[in-house]
Amino acid sequence: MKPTAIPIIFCACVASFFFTGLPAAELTPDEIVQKVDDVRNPELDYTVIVSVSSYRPHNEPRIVTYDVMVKGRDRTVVKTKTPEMERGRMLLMRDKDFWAFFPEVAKPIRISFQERLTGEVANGDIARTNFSQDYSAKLLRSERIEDKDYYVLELTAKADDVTYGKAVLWVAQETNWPLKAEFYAASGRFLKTCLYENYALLAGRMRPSRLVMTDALVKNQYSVIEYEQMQTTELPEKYFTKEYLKKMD
Amino acid sequence: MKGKNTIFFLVLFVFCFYLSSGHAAEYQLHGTTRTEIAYRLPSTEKFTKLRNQLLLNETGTLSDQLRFKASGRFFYDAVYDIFDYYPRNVRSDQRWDAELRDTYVDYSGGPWDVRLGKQQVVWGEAVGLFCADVVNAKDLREYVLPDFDLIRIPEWMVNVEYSKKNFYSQFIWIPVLQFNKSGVANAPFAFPYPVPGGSTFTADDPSEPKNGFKNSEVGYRASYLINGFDLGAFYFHSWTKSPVLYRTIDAGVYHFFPQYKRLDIIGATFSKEINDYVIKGECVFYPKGYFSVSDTNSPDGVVTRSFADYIIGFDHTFFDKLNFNFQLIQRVIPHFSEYLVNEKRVNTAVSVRVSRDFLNHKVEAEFLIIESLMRPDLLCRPKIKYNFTRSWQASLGADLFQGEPSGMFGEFRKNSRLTVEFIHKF
Repeated sequence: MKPTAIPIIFCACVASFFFTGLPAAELTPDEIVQKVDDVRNPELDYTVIVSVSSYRPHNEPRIVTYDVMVKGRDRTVVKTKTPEMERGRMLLMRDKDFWAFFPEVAKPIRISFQERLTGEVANGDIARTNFSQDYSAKLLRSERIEDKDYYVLELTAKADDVTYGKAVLWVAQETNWPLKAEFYAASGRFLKTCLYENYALLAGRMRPSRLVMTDALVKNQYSVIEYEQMQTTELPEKYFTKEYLKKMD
Repeated sequence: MKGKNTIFFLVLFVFCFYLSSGHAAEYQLHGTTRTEIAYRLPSTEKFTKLRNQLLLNETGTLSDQLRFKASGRFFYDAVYDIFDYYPRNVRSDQRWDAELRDTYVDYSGGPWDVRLGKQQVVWGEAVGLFCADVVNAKDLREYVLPDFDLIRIPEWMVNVEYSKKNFYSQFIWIPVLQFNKSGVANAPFAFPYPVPGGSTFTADDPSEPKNGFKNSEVGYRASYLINGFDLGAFYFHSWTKSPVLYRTIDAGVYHFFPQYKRLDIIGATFSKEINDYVIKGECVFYPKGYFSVSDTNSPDGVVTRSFADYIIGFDHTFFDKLNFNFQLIQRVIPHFSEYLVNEKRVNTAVSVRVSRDFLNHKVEAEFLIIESLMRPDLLCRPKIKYNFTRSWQASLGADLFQGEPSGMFGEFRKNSRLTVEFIHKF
């Protein structure tokens, strides 16, 4: 890293803390969730390398890496890098519409939101990472955990076709960093827990670089999602069309 | 032709090697090796394929707006050297091949994209079937059994695309004509000539139209995504990709002189997700299709009829694990004549595909069946794949044909086979 970059990054961090540290009383639950989205992902277009390690009892762990491109909050392309056997498979999300591209078929195929990309990680966990657009928030309570104050928010899906019906989210009051979330089906069934860990400087501000998603139904079944090389960059709109998938092959 | 292909392939390989050795950061060389074994079930000629195949592809960036891809394939099938049950013409056609595959330059500027070179253009929404997938000629020497990207023959074309928000438009121009490759006489998947049983016949080689502007193919497709409905329509001014089997009958002997004819194709496609069910469909209308007739009074054995092929299907994932696809396939010939060979006024078939993975994606199982609802005629393809490393896969499967000899699958009922494949990607 160039020495001149260090003060710039430092200033960016200070600025991000300043802006995320607005007085809590002024924020509505929905605004807090919006702040959480800003912590999790850049507002601008960005690219990131995502590694998903899936662990299941009595099975070898499965590790898949993806090149991910995100435009705005509703368009994502996920391209499989490894394992080699799956290299070139792609997933496109445009709002709530999904397409998959398989090199051996060489054409985009419309798929449902529900189809899995890998392991216990739903498509929406990687491709759709904005709570504020999909859920309405309600403040349940405040909690103090290890000397820090947290909002505990209940998120209710605005529509049927989102990844989870309901979620409970713990958010640090000082920084708006998410600590953990519990996800539930629309029926109320507890599905999984997500821990937001290893906060690191990604695309100009501190963000969780590691998510641990633990299955609530099967003991010792969990997935670890790790983010690296997150970079903001303007991405053309056409990259996020099903016709363009073949050009990324 | 094979000589030309070999030169192409060698040039490509040297080119790829040069690029990857000197500019590792900008260019990527990837490849696949496949060992494919097929063991025929109902015949004494047991092994029908002992093929080793190498696919190489190189991609790279030339500038901000220019990218390229070069790819080639070489295969050698040892079954033609180890066993002697195939005649010379089949051995010559299928023992080995080297070909240049998708090889093109991509230009990208604003909403415009231009792809120049040998490429595949795939239209349609259906899974595992060619209905609206009409642009590229097909290599049918193994019928529809290989992966679809290997069945399609990449063609030299100009492909201009325009994308703006939810609108997409594509224009293609194909100056170099390419036609389907079929199995030669006595090959396992040779298509039969339409003659009554016991009749003798002779056949000329198909006469191909010459390349040139006047004979070139041209197509246009547009699509629009609105409220989750992905709607598309296309027009393709093409040629019959398989020859029309014109014939004369002289003293009871049939003589065929196959010809390629101009063909216009109009199509429409749609897809939409509703409550985790993906509904999709495609319809292709041929204003003037060519059909062989069994009527011996017909002067040339061919009539023209308009007809439509369409597919409606849905996908759903059951229990978060089981991927399910169902498709209804119909051909409708409004001005049907009973003399049309192997056709009906309305011909209906269905396909079902089920797949799921086990052991954390280590094992994948799939099952495909395509069956006519009009007569006994089906293709059944169970397959199990084992990913024993991150770059190696072994698979065991079966291609089971059943039905009447006049059916599209029943005619190959003697070719049902077990298959074993080892695939390595690097």
